[in-house]
Amino acid sequence: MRPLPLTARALRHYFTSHLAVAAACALTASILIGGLLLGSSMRESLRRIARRNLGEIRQIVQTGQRLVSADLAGPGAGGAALLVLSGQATSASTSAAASPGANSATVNGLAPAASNHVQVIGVDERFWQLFPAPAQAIPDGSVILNAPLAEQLAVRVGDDILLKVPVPSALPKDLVLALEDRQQLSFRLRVAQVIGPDEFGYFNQSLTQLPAQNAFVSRDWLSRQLGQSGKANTFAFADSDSENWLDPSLDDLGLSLERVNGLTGPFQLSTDSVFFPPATAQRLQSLQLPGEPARQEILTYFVNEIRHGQRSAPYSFVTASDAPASVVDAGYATSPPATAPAASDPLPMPPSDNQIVLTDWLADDIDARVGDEIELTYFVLGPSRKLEERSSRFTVSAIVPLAQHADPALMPSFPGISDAVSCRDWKSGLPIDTTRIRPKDEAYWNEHRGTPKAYLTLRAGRAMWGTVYGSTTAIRYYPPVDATGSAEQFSADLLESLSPADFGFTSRDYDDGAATGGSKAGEFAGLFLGLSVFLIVSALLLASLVVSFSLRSRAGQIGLLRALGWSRGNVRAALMREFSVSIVGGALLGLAGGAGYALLLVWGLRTIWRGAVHTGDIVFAVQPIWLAVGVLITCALCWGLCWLIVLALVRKSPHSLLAGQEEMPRLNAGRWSMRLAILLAAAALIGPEFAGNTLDSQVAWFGRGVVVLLLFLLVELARLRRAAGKPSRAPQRVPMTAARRPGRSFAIVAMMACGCFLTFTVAGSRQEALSGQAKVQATGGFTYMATLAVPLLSDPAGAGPTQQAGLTTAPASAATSRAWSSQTTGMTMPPGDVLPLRVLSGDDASCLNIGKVLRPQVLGVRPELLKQTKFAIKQSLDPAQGWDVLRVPHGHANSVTMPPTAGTTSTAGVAASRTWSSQTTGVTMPPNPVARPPAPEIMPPNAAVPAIVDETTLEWGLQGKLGMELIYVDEMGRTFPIRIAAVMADGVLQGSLLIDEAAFIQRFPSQAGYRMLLLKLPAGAPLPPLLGRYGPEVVATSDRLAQLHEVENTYLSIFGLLGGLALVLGAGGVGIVLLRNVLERRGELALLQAVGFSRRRLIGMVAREHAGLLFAGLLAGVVSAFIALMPLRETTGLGAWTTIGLTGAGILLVGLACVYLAARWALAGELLSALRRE
Amino acid sequence: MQDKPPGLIELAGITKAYGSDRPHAFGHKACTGTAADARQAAAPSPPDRVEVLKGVDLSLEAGRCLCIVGHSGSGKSTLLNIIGALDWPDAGQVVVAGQELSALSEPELARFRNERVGFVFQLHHLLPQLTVLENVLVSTLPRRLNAAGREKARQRAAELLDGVGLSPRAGFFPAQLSGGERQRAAVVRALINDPPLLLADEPTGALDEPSAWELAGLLGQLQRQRGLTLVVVTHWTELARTLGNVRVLHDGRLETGPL
Repeated sequence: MRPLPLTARALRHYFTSHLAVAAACALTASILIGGLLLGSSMRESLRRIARRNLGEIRQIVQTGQRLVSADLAGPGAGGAALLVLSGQATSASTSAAASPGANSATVNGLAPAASNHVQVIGVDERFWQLFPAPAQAIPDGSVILNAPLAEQLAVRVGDDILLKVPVPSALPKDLVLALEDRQQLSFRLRVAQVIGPDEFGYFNQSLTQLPAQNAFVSRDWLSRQLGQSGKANTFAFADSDSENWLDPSLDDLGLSLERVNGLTGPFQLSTDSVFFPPATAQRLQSLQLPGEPARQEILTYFVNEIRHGQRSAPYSFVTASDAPASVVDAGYATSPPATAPAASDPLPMPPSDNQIVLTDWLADDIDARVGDEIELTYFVLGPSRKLEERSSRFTVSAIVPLAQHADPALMPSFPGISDAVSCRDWKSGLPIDTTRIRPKDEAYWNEHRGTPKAYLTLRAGRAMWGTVYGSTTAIRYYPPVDATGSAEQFSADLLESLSPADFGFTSRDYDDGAATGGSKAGEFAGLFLGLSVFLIVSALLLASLVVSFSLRSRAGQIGLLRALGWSRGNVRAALMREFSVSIVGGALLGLAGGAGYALLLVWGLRTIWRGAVHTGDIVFAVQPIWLAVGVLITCALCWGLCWLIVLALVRKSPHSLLAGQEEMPRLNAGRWSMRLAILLAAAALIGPEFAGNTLDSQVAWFGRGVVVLLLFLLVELARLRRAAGKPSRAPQRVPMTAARRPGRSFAIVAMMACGCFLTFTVAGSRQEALSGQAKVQATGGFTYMATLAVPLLSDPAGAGPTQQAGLTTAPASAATSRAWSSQTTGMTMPPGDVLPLRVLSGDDASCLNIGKVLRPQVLGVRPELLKQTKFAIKQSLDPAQGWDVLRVPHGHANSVTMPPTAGTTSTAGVAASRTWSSQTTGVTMPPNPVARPPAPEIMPPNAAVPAIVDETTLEWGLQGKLGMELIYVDEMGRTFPIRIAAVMADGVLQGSLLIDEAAFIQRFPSQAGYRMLLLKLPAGAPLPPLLGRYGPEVVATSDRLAQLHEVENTYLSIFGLLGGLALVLGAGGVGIVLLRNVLERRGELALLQAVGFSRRRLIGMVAREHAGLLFAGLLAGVVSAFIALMPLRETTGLGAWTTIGLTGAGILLVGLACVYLAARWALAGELLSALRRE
Repeated sequence: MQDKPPGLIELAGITKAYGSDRPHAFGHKACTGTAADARQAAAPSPPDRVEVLKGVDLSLEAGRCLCIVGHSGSGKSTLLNIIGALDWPDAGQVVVAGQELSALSEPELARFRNERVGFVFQLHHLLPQLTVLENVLVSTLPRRLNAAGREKARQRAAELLDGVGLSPRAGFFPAQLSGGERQRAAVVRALINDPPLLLADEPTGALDEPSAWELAGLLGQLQRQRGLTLVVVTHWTELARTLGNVRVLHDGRLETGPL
């Protein structure tokens, strides 16, 4: 006789019991494996979606707003050059049919057949090689649409569409210098083909499952139309690390290098964007170049007037520069040149910041002498095309001959000015009054072009004209006197030292993890497992009941073995061997069940629960590893459970096991439960108050609900245990099994209570149409949300620039300060009625996207405007700050020192240094107020930018907490963290990070204008007519909320269904317990029948007893769920309450029916035979 | 004067009550028979406490037979269980085969039951999934015998079954046996490890009279042939008279006759 045959015999003899155990384990395994298989299915689905979106592409390099030579992705690089623009498309037939007012915006889209989320992709034949699909030839003037866009536009092959695209520009469009009439282009194109996902039609750089709307055109054709033939802005490679293969020229980087004054002058580096971006200028200044040439930064600016007394010269260029250290050491810059300087000498420069050097041409023109005071009038440039005219006064320190300093190279390439033949041809974004231009000005322009007429120190120039977009127009490198070298050599040296990232080139790798959604799919599996957790717990409870019943029926055997000298260990081992077989068998059976369950879930996600994933591309996929994991976890869980039950049983004394006696609960058994219950009651009442603001009220109330649930259960446990330990107070009543088996009865109550609690809280959490304060907080009080195809460059929130700056700047003289923004805005609304948002496109982190979120979309917003909205902050790192938490920490802003400002009236000759926020220096010339801080120096490049995000995005999209940091790369290739400083209530801005507009502009200066607006309009009021110019897609904020809530509600539906299934298991558990109880009491019941109880009365008695347990569980679940839902009473609609009521009634009715039927079935047959057997 | 040699069973001051909320167990070394135990036993009793043994003293020499009789609920089975280490006293000292039971750990108690004691219960408690032979051999499993040992045990089981007339039924399952046969199989199971002490708790309680007499004869025969120490608890006075050395458990104490 050996142990194994003993196990085999037991398995055969107790086959039914083991079958029940195996079935319960199979159920557990099915749920667990189903959840894991859903994860592998999601992973495979996301992999396919990534392949659909990216084909063989493993790296994409973008050049930002700059277009570069498409040859960079030449055969050596092995990639494809693309020209990708976001645009707007309209069906030509719709457009033709529309009235002249077709440009005006309508809610929920511009027109029925239009889209302003179109990716216009200029491609060549190499693009198609990145996808295993045949190449598509695109004739000029034709377009290939992908299926979603063709469907949206309702067009077919042969139809015409109108396509609008923005014109890329190196010069930030936010600056008024950029010409407004070159903002966008329109084309009429014929649809040559409509392609689907198998033909690379769904190309998308984002890993979202939502299909992009793509319009493919010939890249050569598109670049020609943009006036930048042969250029591209996106490079796609089939291998990672391809960025190193890009070898851009200076021209690609928007730089031009020339040697001033022939072969002996300095090298001058200029940019095509007027100003070098601050970080680029800094980088260029710090380059270690061969020969270590001295450097000179130059800011040449266009001033409106240079006045001395009654005489003035209009529209002149003035240069501000610093002196290279080597030359300053020689003493050159400290005094005006005594003799004519050599061509290679630095520029003339006054000795102090409040002085100016004039050319003799200008001095003669305005009759100025050394020591005279002259006044400069100029425009100050700010974002949102803001413009303000200001004046500053300087003392003439020297007059230099123009003939010696005729240096037209100093003039930057001001659009519309630098390339004009005559002054009257100037066509700048600046408001120029050409009537003021005199013949002598024309003559000067013809002879000297934009040669500066005056010179300032760099600090003085920057204090007046510096912007966040830059304050350097050129950099001159002075090689050593004896050095020889060509511009080509110097250019090569420069390029050797520079990286494309310094100029805003960004790359994104799509490794396998990213392509397959990586952890996102795992999170999805985790979510479903989380949703299934109660189902799993119920299945485990069911398994434990079955195991427990099976073992208890064999208590006598266990006692016998102990009596025969089997140690506890021997008995445990024998029993565990036996049950292990049924557990493993059940878990293996669960493989099939899990696959079926996962198939059902996948089917549900593709059909009835599509709202959760917004795609029908979810496929069922099995990965063996997850099958193994599921089986192992199931075995471990069931085995552990079985071990605990065996352990508890084997611990009993052999004689009580042999006698089949249940050890009586001790009299004080319920006392601890009651004490714990009292503690929990106190915790439920006052616990959340102690937590204070750190607990969200919804979480606090849910916590209260859970505590109340535990309270109920503890009281019930105490009641059952105390009843078990005492004789019945009513001897005439039949002793209740519920009290005799407190543990078993408690399991029923607990299962029902937890199931009801979860089902009801889920049903009550459904977000239906919001109303009241909740809706106001979710929408911020706005009625519409508009996304614009063409950015709105002017500020629509109607407030003056200085007011909007929100900072304390020295007041400008009313006589000399004039705001020009109203001339270019075109559309203004009261600040409280519009919230303009700058947009940096990124991954959609809202619940609509199931793909991997690397860098969510960033929105730039002014905190002072947020204060005027109804959005609400729920949690903050610094609650006292309110919306100002978005601002850069004061420690950075206040510590920065502005350069000493020039001035002559009250503080002439005082080289004062003052901080940005100082108001008491008495300096008459304010720093640039519309440039709006932080000025370039104010925020250190690596400083964390505070952000606000909504709680759903933080929890689900980013899966982080308050204070988490996300690493971004700015347009100069510098990484910086965005720190979540506050969390706002869920709302229409879900999926994006909100940062201060000032920080946004500093980090992403080329992302010009506002591409998103929140609008508050009275009911029935039309949208602003001018909005139509910008291709808006307008949705009511209530619709946007409904769209977002659809995802949440779908998940809740799934959760509710799983909770319902758990309740079914709970009801099954009640049935099993009831049958077991009745079987155990058959003798007793037979006796009652023998003494006169009718069968009907016995059925009623048994059913009532178990219905009481059912009702107790239901009551506990309902009351605790009601408490948990307290904060949602406003948002929980009538439908949800109806669902709760019906579910509760249904559970009660079905439960009672189950109990009654089980009682009837259990008491069927010849009861008295049981008595005879006794 | 020479000390009396210790008996196979030595009980001193055994008390036992039910309804007590004080956990005692052999193997937990909680019951040591010390003064503290006595004080604990003498502590005020809760109202639901029923004292069944109130200071039982007993000494039984090896090879002797003892019949304990008493009315239902008098504590006969409890006393037998305490001797067999299936139950534990609240206080007092139990020494069996020279071993102080309260000093034994749980594994030691299991080995004690396996090697030193054979049990015969009122109900046979045969495992329904095993044959008669296998049921007999169940007691040998904890001993982890090698192949030779297992073969030896099988031969011994066969001999024992033959001795009680159950050889033809060795391959039968319990459900296929009569009540008397099951009980004889249970006796064989109790003897398979050749224990010096055989404890029988109402061994004839579930049998008809002929079977009961048959079993009584078998027990007496085995006790004499093998020199077993036999303790039988019964309320069947005829059996007690047949086996002799009768003690009556009355009011929680062990008294000598009359029946």
